[in-house]
Amino acid sequence: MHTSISFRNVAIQEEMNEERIQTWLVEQISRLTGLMPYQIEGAEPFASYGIDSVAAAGLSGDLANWLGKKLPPTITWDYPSVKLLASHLASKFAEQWLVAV
Amino acid sequence: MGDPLGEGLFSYARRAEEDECEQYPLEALQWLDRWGMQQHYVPVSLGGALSDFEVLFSLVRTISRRDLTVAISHAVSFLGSAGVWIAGSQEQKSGLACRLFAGERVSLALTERNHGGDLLSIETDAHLQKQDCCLLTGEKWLINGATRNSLIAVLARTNPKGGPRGFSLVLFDKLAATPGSFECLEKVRTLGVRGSDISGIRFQQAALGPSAIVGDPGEGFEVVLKGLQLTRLLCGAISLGAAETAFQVALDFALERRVYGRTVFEIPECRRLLVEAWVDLLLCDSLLTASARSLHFAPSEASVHSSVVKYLVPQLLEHTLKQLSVVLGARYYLRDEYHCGIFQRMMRDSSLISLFDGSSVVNLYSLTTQFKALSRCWEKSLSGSMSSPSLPVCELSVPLPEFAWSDLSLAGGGQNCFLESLPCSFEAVRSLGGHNCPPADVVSALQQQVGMLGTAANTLMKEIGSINFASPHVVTSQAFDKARDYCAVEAAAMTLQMWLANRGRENGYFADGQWLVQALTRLNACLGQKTNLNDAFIEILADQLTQSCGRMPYSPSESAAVLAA
Repeated sequence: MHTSISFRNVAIQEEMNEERIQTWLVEQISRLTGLMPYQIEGAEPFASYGIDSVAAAGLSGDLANWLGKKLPPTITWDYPSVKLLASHLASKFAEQWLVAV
Repeated sequence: MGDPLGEGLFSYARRAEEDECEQYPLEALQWLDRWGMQQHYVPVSLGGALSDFEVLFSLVRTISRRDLTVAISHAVSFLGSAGVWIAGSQEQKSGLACRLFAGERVSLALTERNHGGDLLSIETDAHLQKQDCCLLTGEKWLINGATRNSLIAVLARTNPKGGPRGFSLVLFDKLAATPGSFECLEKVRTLGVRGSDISGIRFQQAALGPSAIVGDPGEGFEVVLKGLQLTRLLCGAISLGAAETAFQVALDFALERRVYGRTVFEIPECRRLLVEAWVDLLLCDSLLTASARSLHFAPSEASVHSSVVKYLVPQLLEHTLKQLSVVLGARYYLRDEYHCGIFQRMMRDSSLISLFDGSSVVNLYSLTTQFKALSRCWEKSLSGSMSSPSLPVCELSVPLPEFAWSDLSLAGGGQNCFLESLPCSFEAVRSLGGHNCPPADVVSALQQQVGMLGTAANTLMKEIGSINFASPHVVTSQAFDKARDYCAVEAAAMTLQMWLANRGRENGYFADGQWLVQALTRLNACLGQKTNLNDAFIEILADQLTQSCGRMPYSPSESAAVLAA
């Protein structure tokens, strides 16, 4: 089990970039709100799409699971838009700063 | 606290008298101060006595058995101080501890007249000045202790744009404030807890020093939500204390009162109502004990367990009290008769619990936001990729680890030690046998209930993984129904584990398990799977009830017994 997870993380680390994270976040917001992906602006705060603080904390958990990394549930509060969050995470990946789950 | 039926300060008679006059229970609160109750709100590391949440909850439950006004007016200090214990500086923590030890009380001011549970809309503003000083302006309303208490932890806006990082928790000290910078508002008249100081406070450019902000500016909302995880469990203890008294009164009445030449207890329907109520109490006691212990073993899961307990316990017990009122007949409606009307007062006062510290809707919604993660972890636990859960959290003989305040988390990543233990619990029930085993009819009834529960849990956990949501406005009623079902499944998991882990060290009715069959029957019915409890079990439970005088299985802490004496 451990081998496969660490293998997956390496794979993610190599491919992970801002664009991929943005695409994933837009998909999630679309899933949560029923909006079409093209209707979602990267710079708009999550809250303006009706994603409240508690739901945003839930989204952090899904994100952590997708990335296979530990993230604080409040990360979507501190970086409250697709653009801010994706660019923050991408820079953390570049610095190899994130800890695997 | 002395004999509840006597004439002392904590007797039903004195409590009723003060309630009728809507009198603030100052004398009773001061008695509790002298007893040292406030020590239990302060962590041991700061010189207090709080090291075990089971003890804190059992003490508040003991006070709640006498009077909810006294319980909430005293325990408000735990509500007000929790944020400081979670995020405060060392200086703030020791400062607040000293003030509490000296008998001062601290309130928590969240709500405003125009904004109830919608905390991110509040307008009270703590305008940041140089060097972290701020000016507090605005009005807080429906605040327990706002007028009487000298300290108030206030959630205020520190960023005009708001958002989850736009608010800070500030500690307002009336004794240090400039005169005229604040004004207490009139006591609000309420249906129950009539002597309590539910009022408000208005701040007018009240200047606060740099030591007033708890944690970092912008951290307030997070700190408040974490604190509520603890106080929501405390609410369960308050509800249970009130229900225990109501139950005792109804039971005594049924055993003494003679109608048609026999006691009320001898009437089969009344006996059944009392048995069902007793099992509700046992069920809620299991939930509270398990969840209090889980704070020590798995603090990061508290976001889930606190919502389950805060939703289910008050809701279930409100129903229980309604059911017990049938046994009392007209007497339940009287304000003076039968122990000074204690039954109707407990019923009236405890209906408050499902409203404050996050209403039922708020708690269910909070569960829906974690559905995806919960479902994911459940799938993982089924596929066996998670370590096999033996549950020391439910084994009362296992001492509690120290509580880690810093490990509280807004979302636990979907882990739930109780749910993940279900497959093991099912296996344990399936293989019950040999000596030290409940009677054969109990075993087969348990296996039937557990089988139904397993099916319901599997279906539910798959379904909740595919529910989408974004805010309370768009959460469908279907999602709320699933959240209710989730509460029932978790409750069943907790109760089953508590029984499996402790039946060996308890004798009598607890180990025999008829009560557990009834408890699971009740929870399965919540899940839409109705079965009737076998009449023979009701009769056995009725005998166990009279023999044990309604004793609870998980013995109260020593300090709670001392307090009650």
